[in-house]
Amino acid sequence: MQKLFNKGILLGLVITALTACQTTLPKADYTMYRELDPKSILVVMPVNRSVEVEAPDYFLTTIAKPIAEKGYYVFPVNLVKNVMDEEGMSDADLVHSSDPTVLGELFGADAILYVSIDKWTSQWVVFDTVTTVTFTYTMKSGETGETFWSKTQNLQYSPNQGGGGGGLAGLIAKAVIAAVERAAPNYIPMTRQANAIAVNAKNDGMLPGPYSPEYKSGEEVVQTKEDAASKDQPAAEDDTTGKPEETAEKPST
Amino acid sequence: MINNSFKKGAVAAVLLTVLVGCQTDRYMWGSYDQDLYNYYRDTEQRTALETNLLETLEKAEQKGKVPPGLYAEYGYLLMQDGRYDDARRYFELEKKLWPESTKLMDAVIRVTAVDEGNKDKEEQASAETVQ
Repeated sequence: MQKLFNKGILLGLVITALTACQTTLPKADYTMYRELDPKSILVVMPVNRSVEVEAPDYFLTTIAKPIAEKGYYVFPVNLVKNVMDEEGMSDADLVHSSDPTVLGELFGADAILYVSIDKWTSQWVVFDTVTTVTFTYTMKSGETGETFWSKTQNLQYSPNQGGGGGGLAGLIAKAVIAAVERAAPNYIPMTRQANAIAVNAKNDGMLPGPYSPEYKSGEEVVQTKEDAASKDQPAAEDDTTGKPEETAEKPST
Repeated sequence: MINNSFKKGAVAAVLLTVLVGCQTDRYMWGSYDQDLYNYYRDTEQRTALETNLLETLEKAEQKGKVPPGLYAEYGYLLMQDGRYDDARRYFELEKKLWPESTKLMDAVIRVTAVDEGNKDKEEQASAETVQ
């Protein structure tokens, strides 16, 4: 029991470390993302590059929550999976290589999220087990078919990372912990964490969606500052688009 | 002075960690994701998925927010059970709460009508052969 608890803490630490690193990455270009301003997202069956046949199904169960919490409408994943199967669209590779605007039109979706499961493995190393998940997320417009967001997220976990007791007893304990992880790898908690990090990453995550209180705050203002600066001040008066960021503009010192 | 701002920074870092850690969900999800995973692992878990989903929806209606997609997920399970009227009711609820779903919901509502029609025909056919 104690060991399990340690496991949780370690996983937490690894994740904190990874999250902390995100801030040093260069900022992604959100120009097209802002322009398209998607509100609804359709997640299609992930393409599987791992040897675990079940990985795509399992992945699907983890993705709706973080994206919905980010402020988007996410189409019901189980319903969509079944409908696509019935419509003869069960081949993920085929779906991923087909025209996104067809799916956009069919489902009435602003955007389609294509996920590739690059790694979903648990490997035995000396007295330890390393579990790795790597996902590539590609978001395309359901209207224009353009890619407006993509990100690769990698997460690794090994139960014995923190060291622990020495001597023979320590080694045996480590071997046991490693065997437990090998037998039942932490794929689902790790996948959930990887999704949460990818979606919420400060510099290259998803922008807050229309149901988020942060929708069009921050990021949006920066862009329109330049827009507004190039025009003269009164131009905002006869602006008919009525976008809130136009009025949110403040002179920077 | 330096020490002071260092302390400030440390406090901010701790606060940030706490805030991130305590970030609460906007919607009431219940055990939906875990139940769906259990169902994909073992189809016998379907009943648990369906029962818990209804419980979550009722709870979310009373004291929270129903997440996007959940009315439709429940409706789809009902449709598979052959409970077409109930299924349609939940598809309509999804549509009302999330207008983004209109196109898909209209499509599945049409499918329930076709499925229902087929079922009726089958029943009629089997009734006729009995006679």
